[in-house]
Amino acid sequence: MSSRALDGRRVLRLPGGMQIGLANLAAALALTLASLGLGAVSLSWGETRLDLLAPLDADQAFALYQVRLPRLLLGFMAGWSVALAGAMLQSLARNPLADPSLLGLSQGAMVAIMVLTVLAPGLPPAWLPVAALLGGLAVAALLLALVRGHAGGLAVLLMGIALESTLSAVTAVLVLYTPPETSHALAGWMAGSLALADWPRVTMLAPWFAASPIAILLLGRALRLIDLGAPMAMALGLDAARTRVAVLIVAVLLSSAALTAVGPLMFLGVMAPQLAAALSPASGRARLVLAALTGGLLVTAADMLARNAGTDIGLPVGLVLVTLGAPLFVLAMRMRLFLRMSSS
Amino acid sequence: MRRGFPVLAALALALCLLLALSAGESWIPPSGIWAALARFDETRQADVIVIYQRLPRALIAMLAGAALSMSGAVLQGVLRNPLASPSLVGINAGAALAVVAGAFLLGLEPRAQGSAALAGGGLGFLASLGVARLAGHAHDPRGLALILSGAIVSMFLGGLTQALLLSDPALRQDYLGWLGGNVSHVHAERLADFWWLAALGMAAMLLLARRLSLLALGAEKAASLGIDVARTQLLALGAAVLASASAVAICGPLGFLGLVVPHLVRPLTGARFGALLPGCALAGACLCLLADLIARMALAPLALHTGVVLELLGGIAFMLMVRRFYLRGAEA
Amino acid sequence: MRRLLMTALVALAAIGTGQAAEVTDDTGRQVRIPDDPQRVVALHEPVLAVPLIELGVPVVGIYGRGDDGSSLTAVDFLHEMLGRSKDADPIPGIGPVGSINLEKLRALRPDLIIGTDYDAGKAKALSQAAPVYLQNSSAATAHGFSVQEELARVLHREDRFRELRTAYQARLDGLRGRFPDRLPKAPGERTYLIVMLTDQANVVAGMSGAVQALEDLGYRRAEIAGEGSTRQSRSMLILPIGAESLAGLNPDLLLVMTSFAAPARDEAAARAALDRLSPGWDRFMAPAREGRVVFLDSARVTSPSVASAMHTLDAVEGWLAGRPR
Repeated sequence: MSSRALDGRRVLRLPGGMQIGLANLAAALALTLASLGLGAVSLSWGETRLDLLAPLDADQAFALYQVRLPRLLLGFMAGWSVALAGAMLQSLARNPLADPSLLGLSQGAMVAIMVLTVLAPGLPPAWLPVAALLGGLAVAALLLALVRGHAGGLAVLLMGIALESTLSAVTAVLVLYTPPETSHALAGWMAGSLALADWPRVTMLAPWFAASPIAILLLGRALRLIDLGAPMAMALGLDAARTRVAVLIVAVLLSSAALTAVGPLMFLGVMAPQLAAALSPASGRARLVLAALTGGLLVTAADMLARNAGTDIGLPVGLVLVTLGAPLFVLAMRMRLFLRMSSS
Repeated sequence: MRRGFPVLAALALALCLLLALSAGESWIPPSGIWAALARFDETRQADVIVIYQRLPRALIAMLAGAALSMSGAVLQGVLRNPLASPSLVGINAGAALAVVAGAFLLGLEPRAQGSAALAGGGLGFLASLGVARLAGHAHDPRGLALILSGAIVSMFLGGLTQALLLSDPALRQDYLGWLGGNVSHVHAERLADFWWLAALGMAAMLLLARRLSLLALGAEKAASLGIDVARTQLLALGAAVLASASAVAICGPLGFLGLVVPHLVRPLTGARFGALLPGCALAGACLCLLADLIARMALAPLALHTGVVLELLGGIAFMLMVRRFYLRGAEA
Repeated sequence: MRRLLMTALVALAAIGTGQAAEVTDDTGRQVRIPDDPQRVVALHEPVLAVPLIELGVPVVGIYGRGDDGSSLTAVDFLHEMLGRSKDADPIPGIGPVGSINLEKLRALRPDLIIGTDYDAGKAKALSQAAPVYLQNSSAATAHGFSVQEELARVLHREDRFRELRTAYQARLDGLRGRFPDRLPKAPGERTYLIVMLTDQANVVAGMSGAVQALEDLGYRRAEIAGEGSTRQSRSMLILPIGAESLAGLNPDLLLVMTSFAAPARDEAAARAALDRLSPGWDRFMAPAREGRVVFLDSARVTSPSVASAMHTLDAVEGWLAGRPR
């Protein structure tokens, strides 16, 4: 099977992770410059290059340093975190469709944030990340308690969907009992938005982002073993239960932090790892890094489109992501299927 | 037990209906209900409440409950998947998106939204099947991939629906409640427009009952008995989509029933569709009436949407069923 | 370093040359706001922009409007509530609904941004363009047109508010003089309830000119059975109630309106909505039977401003003069 899979790769001229990584980096650079350059205040190509050549006026400096740069960073870091969480959960559940929002982890965080916003509107915003984190962790704990003692990833996944639908009902009640103007604002946030990206948000998300390589280093090997199958992992001396808890906690931390910063980025956790895998069948740590990188790039690109679409309705980045991402996702699935079929 | 079940279920339904008509802000005794039905007098408040508020509401609840439960039974049978149900395989989300998109983008009249819901429900279901196939679990014996892709597709379609809602604050007001699954007499016109579509779907499912039972014995065996397997499956799935999409067109997406009712009824009627489907219709109508009663009374005078009550119950039931069908299995 | 410098420059430019003073806003933040702001951006049209413009505060931008100044929500509140001509100088928005555009916001050169306590999460980001003052607006903390009164104090427009209030008081006294027997004699003697109709009935609480006018006329809000008097339920602006409960409501004065997002907001529309929600309401609801129903236009009476209170008095006067009973 594996030799034929290699054939498939050769046909597509995709000789491995390195080149894909480099291509990703190049795409990141191009996207960065484009997204810094486009917006309500116009900046020329030269001016985008961090004002080394032309001095900026105050408006341009504001647009560049206070709006677009934090937005770019925030979008990338959020995309990175959610995609990484998705990739980890997929290894854990041994299923390519696992996703923080499908498992109810995002909904837990969302319910916590909504309860705070609706019941205590005056509360300092600093509490929101704490609430989101606690909400996500509570759902994760509930999930583990409900599937206690069962190794099957499928069970975790199904139980997650069940939790998700219950929590969605709670969200619906909360939205119904919210004054219209607040519910409208919440609906905007629930769709995922980078409109209010600023440096404080960037610095809030940055530590999680910065810590994620450590998680990749520590958990990458274990996840690779889990990918090989539970019996194999156990034979190689892996404490499966402990690994599972660790992965789940890391995924919750990453996805809740991103959720607080930009709202839920639905679908991304499934989409990005899938796209990355279609481009390059890496495994272990390389797989996680590629998935995360793809996630960051997808959000950056989606936000650039959302920001410059020029409509009266603000297109929240989450929706652009979903709309553009779904066809890509299907394509990626198709491609993997093609590879798998050509190999069997 | 099995023999007596239809009678018992019909009795229970009659009781639930009576309760739904009697209970509310004011208690109307059965004699009052009879009076309202037999000699309607529009100067009597009780008569007006029964005829214009409680009765339409009860009819919507019964129709939606029956249609969704039967669809659930058929989906579970044909797809051989204990978790298949209109809300989990993308039908509800697809129909809801189509209704909202029709109203927001094309300015469709409520009357035309029924066909939109039908098309949307069908597309949502096909999309779920497609993604399940792409995910590479086409031969997954426990049918998990379909449920997963149904959840993904529903999430995607739900996201689009939310986007549409954001785009028009005026229409948002009209559809926000409906999207939450709002069994209410204000949708009586929708009931008048679409009841026959749901009835058509249910009738088709009943007509297919015998063939579905044979199909349950296995495709080869059914084929040897002279059943056109592919055609029967297609017709049954089409009927299930038709019934559930028209229920969605009337009162918005309702969860829980399609998933749980077949599992509640099967031990009582046996797996034969000839008995299972009518049983599901009766039990589903009963449960939906009761959920609606809870929605009306739980926080009175504050109103709660029936869809929310069902969703909450459904989430919990879903968890129990995952434990039953998948966790036990994993232990064994 | 360069970025820090830029931030400092931006902040300096935003404060401008005028006098400024440090104040504490309703969420406890310390804000340095100009004594006489010349370019104010309001983050909510009915709750903030309407009372501000009525006070004569120069508002240059309103969240919820397009670049050309057209309203992105269903209603032009400035036109409905203040009679501002649709041909008047357009007041542009600050980006599409759901996502504020900071670049556009800054291009308006605001010297003060005013939001509600619900905007607390945005305050930090918006502060980069101008100082952000947050005003309490939830029904738990604001009542009647208290929002406008507080804004007048913060922005030193007390004189203008006194003028408005004097005219309003004269109007109140005039009504009491004309209909001495049909209005409450002592404060709180009779009850009122405001209901907004969508596909369900919603009891409206708290903060609006309508509430102010009714309570100044001597009415108090009727308790709904089972609602409870917890702060929690009081802080909700809108409580959905069942259709049958709607028919059972019996305040001394029932005020009915359709949502401002509804296609029509006149008496006929409200009657049609009642027909749909509670058939036979005109025969069975005690207030309807006894001519104690007043129809309001939700796009006029729902802002915390004297203007909304005046519109409410208009509606009440129409009721008093039109249907004697």
